[in-house]
Amino acid sequence: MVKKENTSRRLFRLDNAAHIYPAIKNQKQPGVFRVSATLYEPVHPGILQQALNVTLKRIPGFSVKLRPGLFWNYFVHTDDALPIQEDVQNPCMEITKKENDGFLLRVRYHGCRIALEAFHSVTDGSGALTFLKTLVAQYLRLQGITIPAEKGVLDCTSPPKPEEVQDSFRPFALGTHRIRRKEPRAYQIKGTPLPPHNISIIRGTIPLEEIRKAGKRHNVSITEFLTAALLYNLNGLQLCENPYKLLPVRVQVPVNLRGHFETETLRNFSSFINVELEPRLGDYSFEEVLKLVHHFLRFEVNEKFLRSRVAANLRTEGLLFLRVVPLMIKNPMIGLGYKIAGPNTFTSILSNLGNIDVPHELAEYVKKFDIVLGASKDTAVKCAVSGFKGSLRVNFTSSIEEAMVERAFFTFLVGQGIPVEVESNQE
Amino acid sequence: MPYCVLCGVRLKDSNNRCPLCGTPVILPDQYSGKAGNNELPLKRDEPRESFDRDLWVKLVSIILAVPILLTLAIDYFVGTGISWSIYVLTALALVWVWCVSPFLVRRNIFPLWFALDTAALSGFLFFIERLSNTGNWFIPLAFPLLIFTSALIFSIVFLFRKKIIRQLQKPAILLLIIGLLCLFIELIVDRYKYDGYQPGWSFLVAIPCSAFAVILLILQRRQWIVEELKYWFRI
Repeated sequence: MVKKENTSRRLFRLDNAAHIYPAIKNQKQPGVFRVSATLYEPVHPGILQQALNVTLKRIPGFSVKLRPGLFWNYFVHTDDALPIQEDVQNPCMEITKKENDGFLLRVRYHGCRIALEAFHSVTDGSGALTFLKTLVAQYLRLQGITIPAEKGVLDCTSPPKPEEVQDSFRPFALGTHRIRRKEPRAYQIKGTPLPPHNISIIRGTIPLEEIRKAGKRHNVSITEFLTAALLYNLNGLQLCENPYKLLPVRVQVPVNLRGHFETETLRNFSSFINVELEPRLGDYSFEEVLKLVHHFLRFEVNEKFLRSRVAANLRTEGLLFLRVVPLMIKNPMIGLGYKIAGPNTFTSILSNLGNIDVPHELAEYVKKFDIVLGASKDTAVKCAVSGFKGSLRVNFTSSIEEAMVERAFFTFLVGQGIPVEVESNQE
Repeated sequence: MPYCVLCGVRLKDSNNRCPLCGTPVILPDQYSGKAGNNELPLKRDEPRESFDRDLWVKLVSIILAVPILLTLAIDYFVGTGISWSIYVLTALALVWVWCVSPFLVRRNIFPLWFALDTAALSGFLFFIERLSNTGNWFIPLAFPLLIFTSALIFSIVFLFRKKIIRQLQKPAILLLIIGLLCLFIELIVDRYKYDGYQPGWSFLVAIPCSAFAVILLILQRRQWIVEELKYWFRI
């Protein structure tokens, strides 16, 4: 039985994945990510503001402010208007309480681009994309263009559904046997930290057909091909850096659980798989890495394994001693737990949102979609991928000055015969 | 459309350099600045001041004004005029200076407010010496100790903030400074008490401190040990 959130009370419990972000959030680890859509025409700020007001009413799970309770944080729904902002060169910076009147998201515009930056406690990539698609559709509707409510675009004339703010982790995994594997320390990318409040974004645009062909040559999917390419190049960097003290190289691949459980939630509903390469066992060819990643992901990404992973997290949340400890003490405990068991266990992240599907009436007006992960001190380089209109956009986010990972990755793709166009926010 | 000659990736028309390796674009005259990258916003998201300086200064002033007024009133009405309350007043004035000095100017200028704090403490000690009639101890004892300690604290903060020293050099420098401070304290105290200098306890502190500092400085040269320590202490 699915427990529905009481929307009339206008209070939302944080979902299982959301609890960690308020506890670890700081300037160096903002927990913010961004999805953006670039249109063919320049954005009109006045109309965008109207569209945002309507979209926030339709998706109340995003119109929330974080409030500390005695034992847990919780969200309070608000009817306040969220003002749109001009876009900046250094996106995904920390969303502070003072800023935005306590909202946990920003909507930004620049030229033809509309961007949504969201604190990860509110939603995940898929939820944010639904919000962005609905916002862009509403923006176009206000200009007299008819966009049907399908393929992730919500109908703003209909009332919000309680299922959209439901915490789907519990019905998905509660009561399942949990499997927790011990993952020792992984190789960490080192470099010169960027000055505070800076982020390096290097974007590679790749023809989707070319990368699909490359994947087909080896009988692997695009995610598997890109993950293998990243693992292979990270391992190469480690070998150059310190060949005498090798550590496992792990890439964290987020998995959207919506593909494994019927839900309409727009809140967090994803898990992750850490794909590992053990360089101490010997040298790997790219074909070997591809095979390893392919079989590892096929083995791990199935409903039963994912349930057990989520169940392990739910069990931690449900521990009696953790529940009775006041939030003031709980937050540092969560922060310490994250520091011990979190970022040291993987080298980088590769998040693939897949090919973004929109109604063809909307596709006519949108040139490209992008997803950017926020930089963090602990994971120096992260990668986010999305496909739209025959192009694959690979966005590397980094908190260090050196672009050796990005360079190794993109030059490797060029070496595989895949053309790459590169741009950066550091011009 | 330009390409990077080293990486082989295609670049934007507006790129003067390859974002991956920094190599200048070939035929820059033809491409650079021609198109201009209007997709890139010029504005930057700067951190906002989350601390209300004015409110803090007002709050501290009000909180400290209450005990000051209360003490003065009690001393005046219960006793025979203002006597002991002057000690409380000067102590609270010192606390006020320490609390508000970093926020008096808009920018956080550490040397300025640290000098102000040291001057305030120095004035407080001088005032106590004059009021209490306990002999001449400020100039020969308290003042040199205060100045030397302040100079050491200032140097540590300066070295740490400017990132001149790093990793294990930090505890090494701290240990050296502790040793140096002990030597200086003994020197000043001996001169004040015995009008001479008899080295004693301070060497027992300074020697192990220096030895540990040297070990740390040697360890610093072995980078893998530093990495291992950083991992185990989750730094």
